[in-house]
Amino acid sequence: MRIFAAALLLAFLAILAGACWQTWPDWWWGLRAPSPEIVFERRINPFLERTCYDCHDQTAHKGGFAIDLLDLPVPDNSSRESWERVLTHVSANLMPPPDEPQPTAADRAQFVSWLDHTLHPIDPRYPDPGRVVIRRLNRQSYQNTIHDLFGIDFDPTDTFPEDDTGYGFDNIASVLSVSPLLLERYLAAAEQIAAAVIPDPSPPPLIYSGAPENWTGGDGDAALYSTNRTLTWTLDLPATGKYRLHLLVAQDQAGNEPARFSVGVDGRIITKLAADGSRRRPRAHDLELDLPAGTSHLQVAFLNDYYAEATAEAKARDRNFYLQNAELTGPYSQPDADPTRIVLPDWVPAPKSSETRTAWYGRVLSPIMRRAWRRPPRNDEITRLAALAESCESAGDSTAAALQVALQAILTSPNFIFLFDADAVAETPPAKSQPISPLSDFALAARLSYFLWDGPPDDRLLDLADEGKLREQLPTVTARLLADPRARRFVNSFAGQWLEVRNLPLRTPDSKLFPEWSPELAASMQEETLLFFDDFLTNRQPIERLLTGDFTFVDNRLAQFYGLPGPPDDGFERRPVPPNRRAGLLGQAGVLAVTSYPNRTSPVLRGKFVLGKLLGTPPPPPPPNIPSLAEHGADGQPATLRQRLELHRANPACATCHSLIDPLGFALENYDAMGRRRELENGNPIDSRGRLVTGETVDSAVSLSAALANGHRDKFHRNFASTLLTYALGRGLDYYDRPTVDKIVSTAALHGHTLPAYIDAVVASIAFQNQRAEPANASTDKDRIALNSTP
Amino acid sequence: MPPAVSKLNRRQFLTGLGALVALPVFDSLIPTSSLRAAGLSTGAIPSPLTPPLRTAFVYVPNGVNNAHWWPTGAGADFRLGSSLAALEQHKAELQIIAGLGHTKANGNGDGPGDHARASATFLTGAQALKTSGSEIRVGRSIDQMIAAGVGAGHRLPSLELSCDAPRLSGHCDSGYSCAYQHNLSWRSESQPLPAERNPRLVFERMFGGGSRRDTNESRTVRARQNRSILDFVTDDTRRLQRDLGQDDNQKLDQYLTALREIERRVESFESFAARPDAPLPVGIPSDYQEHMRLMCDLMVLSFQTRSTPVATLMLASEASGHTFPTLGITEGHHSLSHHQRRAEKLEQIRRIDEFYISQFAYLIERMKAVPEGEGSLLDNSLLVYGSGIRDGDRHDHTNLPVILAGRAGGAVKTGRFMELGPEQPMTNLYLSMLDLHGIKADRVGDSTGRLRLG
Repeated sequence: MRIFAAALLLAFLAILAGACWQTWPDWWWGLRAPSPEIVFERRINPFLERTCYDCHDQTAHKGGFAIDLLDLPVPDNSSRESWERVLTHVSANLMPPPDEPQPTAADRAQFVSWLDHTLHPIDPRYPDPGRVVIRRLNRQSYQNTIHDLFGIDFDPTDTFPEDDTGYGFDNIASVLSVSPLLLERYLAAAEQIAAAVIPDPSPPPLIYSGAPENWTGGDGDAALYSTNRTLTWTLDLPATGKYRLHLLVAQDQAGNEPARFSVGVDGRIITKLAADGSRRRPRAHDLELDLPAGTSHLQVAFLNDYYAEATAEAKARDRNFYLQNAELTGPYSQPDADPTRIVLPDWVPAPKSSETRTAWYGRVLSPIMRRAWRRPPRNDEITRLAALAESCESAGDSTAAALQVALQAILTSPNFIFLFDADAVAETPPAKSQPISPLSDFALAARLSYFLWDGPPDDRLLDLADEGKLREQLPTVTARLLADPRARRFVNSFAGQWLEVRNLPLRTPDSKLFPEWSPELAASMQEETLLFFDDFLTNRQPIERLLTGDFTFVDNRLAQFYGLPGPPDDGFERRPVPPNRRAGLLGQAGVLAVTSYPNRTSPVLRGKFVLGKLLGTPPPPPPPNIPSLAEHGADGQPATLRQRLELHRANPACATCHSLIDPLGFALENYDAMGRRRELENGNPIDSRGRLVTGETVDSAVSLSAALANGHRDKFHRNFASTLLTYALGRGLDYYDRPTVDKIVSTAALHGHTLPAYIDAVVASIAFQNQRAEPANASTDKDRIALNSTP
Repeated sequence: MPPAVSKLNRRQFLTGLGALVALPVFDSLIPTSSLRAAGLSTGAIPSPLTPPLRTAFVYVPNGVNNAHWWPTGAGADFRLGSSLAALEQHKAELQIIAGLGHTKANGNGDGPGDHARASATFLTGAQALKTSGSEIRVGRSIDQMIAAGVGAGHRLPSLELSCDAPRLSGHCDSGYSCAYQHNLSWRSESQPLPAERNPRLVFERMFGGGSRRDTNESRTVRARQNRSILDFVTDDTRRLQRDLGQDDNQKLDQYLTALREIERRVESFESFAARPDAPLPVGIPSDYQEHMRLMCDLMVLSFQTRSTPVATLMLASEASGHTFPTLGITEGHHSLSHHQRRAEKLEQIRRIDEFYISQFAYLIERMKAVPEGEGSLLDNSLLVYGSGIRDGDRHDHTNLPVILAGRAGGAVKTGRFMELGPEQPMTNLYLSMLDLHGIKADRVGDSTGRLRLG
């Protein structure tokens, strides 16, 4: 009986180990795969012998790569990277090289499947949501956050250091690091923001600062007074009071006295002064002025010009006066004003007679903390912050200044700067049996709002999280967020980076070849692609229509560029594109321009864009020491770029990748490096025909886009899901995310593959709503491999 | 009638700086704390008469046209390559070294990505972990070792400058995170230090905003308030750190380190150097050369006022696609650097090399013009100029183009072309530089020994 059962099991295993074994479902591998040693000896090693070892064993080790030196059969971490390379190369048909004998498709598939499962064991019973490390706001999120919290525009572009990017996006948690420089800028930004949010009655605001470039009365050079003259500066003052004028002046000394100047208001001279500074060491003069509210005219005049042609020494010949800088601050409060009067924004509640100052500060600050930190503050946090404000007050700061300092602390705290799950903080690491921990409702609200608004959750979202109703209402909430104008930020950030049109303003095409290029045109191209993508939020079209869409958006500038009828006014309007000329993203000038060099098109860059950005199968990078592109054809005539690339491809070493890449780019050769339609190159007609490695014949952007949207639709969907998930989570995807991506695609399929369907599916995914409970490390994977290898 | 004078603009700022640079360093310009540090670091008696060593690293991307770059001759008897013509007048201040390399910039099993590795390895001598974003890691850079050794007491322990174009979005080199390509300075193996591109902000970091409201009184109040804010935030960070996971803690560590540095600066807020009486530099000049020269001016100013002991300047990030319309070069630098041995591309590369070298010549000239002690600021400094790639078409990291300038206070011999016998790691040079600073270390990155610079 027992023997019979054992024999049955053996027979079963034998069948499984047979021809169809590579089709085992993923779950099976988690349960009872035969030992990797057995599979390896029977199936894999023979494949390696036949297919790889001629070049890649330790004797030959071509390219410094010897497979038999890698750890076998179960790769440990040191060999893992190399095995990953084997997997990439063999699965992409890059190895063996085309001039070597090829394995059968079935053998290749079997090997790829074995290696894939061995390297990437996935057990769908225990989905792994991965773990997003604590994520700092990038520059754009910071700006959006300040705008949404306080309604003020603070632009950190010029002050914050640029954010590093990873996986094609600038919101990847692990690469967003903090430097002392950045922290310095956070502090300065917080000070500036706090001053704008809580205006301090003292010291008075700076009304003007800078060189007098806009003063009237000059003769083209406001800073220099080369003759006796008067410059006038028209002031528009908020209130009557004392103002302080700070002037930085200099002179060229000549003759027997220093340059003299006067300061006056509305034609009345207030004082006359000598400018005793030099141009190297300008001198500051401070004046106190009584000025009325409304318009006044401040005049600074040079009084004693001197020029003695006959003087031998050049320096002593000419006396000039320079006004290098002027600052006006005020109004300074009147001495009789009530020093205890506090001018505070109306959202600050008045103190109650019964409460202490600390309690009042806490009451004022905790709502700001809740919004800025995207969660309710804990009592100890409120107490500490209130104590901070109170201590400022005791040290002599005004109430407004104390509140400013507290607000600065809120905005510099890691609770503001970083996105993370505060509720996970207090818990002890959960047991191994519960590898998944759901995000708290507040963390989920923030993940959602930074995904779709690139900004903080609003009060409605926070309230829902507070009531514990966020998860049950997620689809409704997502729809509300997408219907909000702030969703345009998602389009700008996600599509702008995915499709690289964010780079358009930075492009500098050769101005001799492309005199039509201008920053305005670049901006219009960018807006076209973003509006096109934005349309998919509402047009209920499947996302592959991003490739084939027969419409676009143009303003007058673009309409002229494309030869389409322009809209009646300044804005953009939807227009059908001319059939058979352009279609979808690959017909848009912006996409075609960012995939070109400054002086020519690049079928390679464009092909790489299609493979990498649209299909998610980027070709491997080129090796060094690339042989030269011949400049002339066989007949000695200058060749088109295509002809030159084809010669290049005749080299088998290049052919592997370029037969994959080039046909995609050739199909787009009818558009020049700024996306303009063309029929000729170097006087030769353009040949845009090509055959994709998958067999389709294409000859234009339109037929290429159609081929991609039909024959490669699944890849496009999967890639879109992966890219969207990467952006939504702020982390790169790993093999354990495959089931999540599969699920996103299959869920979106049920809803017609629309953009909102993909967004909903990402939001509903395990990875979006949870995180791996223990700190990210390799132990889980190791454990699983160890389990599998137990006979 | 007097002649017309251009209005106050960036040029006048430059002249202003030039004027200041031409002045001897007055004691009043030097914060006492940095004098102290200078004295302490060398173990000498603190005295403004023994100027400290200042060090800078200037990076150019994409390799060079080697045929025109390297000197001929050997030792003291050498002739500069034609690309280096702008350095002719500074020949006596130079030491050109052949035979330094970065083996850690090779693939070593990681496949393509030589541009990303070239910049990541240049100052670290470490192998960059190949990742597009998870866990960036390379190594601590030499400038940060110098900063850690002698930076205390300076307004800025180190200064990171860049003249690179704004970053493009998208993917960087062959599966490497963009962090590797855009940063030279690594404070720790996982923390890159971003460089400042905006001259005005560099100026303000050294000398304060210069506003009328920036008085001593307001600074005192500000320092007190900032201390309270920093205390609160440090407390917040520590609380978080207790509870979050390992990876999160690494980020929070960066935050704490940054907090501590700012705290230190707040504590010694008087250590702003005296502000030069010149108008603030404006933002980023649209002209590339002006941008680079302004950054050189600021670097000189930072050294002259002893605001920092060490600076890095990335003229352009690795694989930069800069075009040079003023030179008539409209194809991007990176694309040209894959010259495939075509003469017209090599010629354009040569002209780009010449262009970058002339910026370095400008920096040298400026530093020579600052009298200091018995000689010039340059005499008391050591500048390293180089690329992490030798030839852009080959992506090789051996025998890198490297120029030293300055005598490091007499410790370094100049006016020679030094050809190392067997190739040595670039980090051997760095280890010797640490010696010059009096910083004890056994190695830097992959260093195997020391280079005889004297």
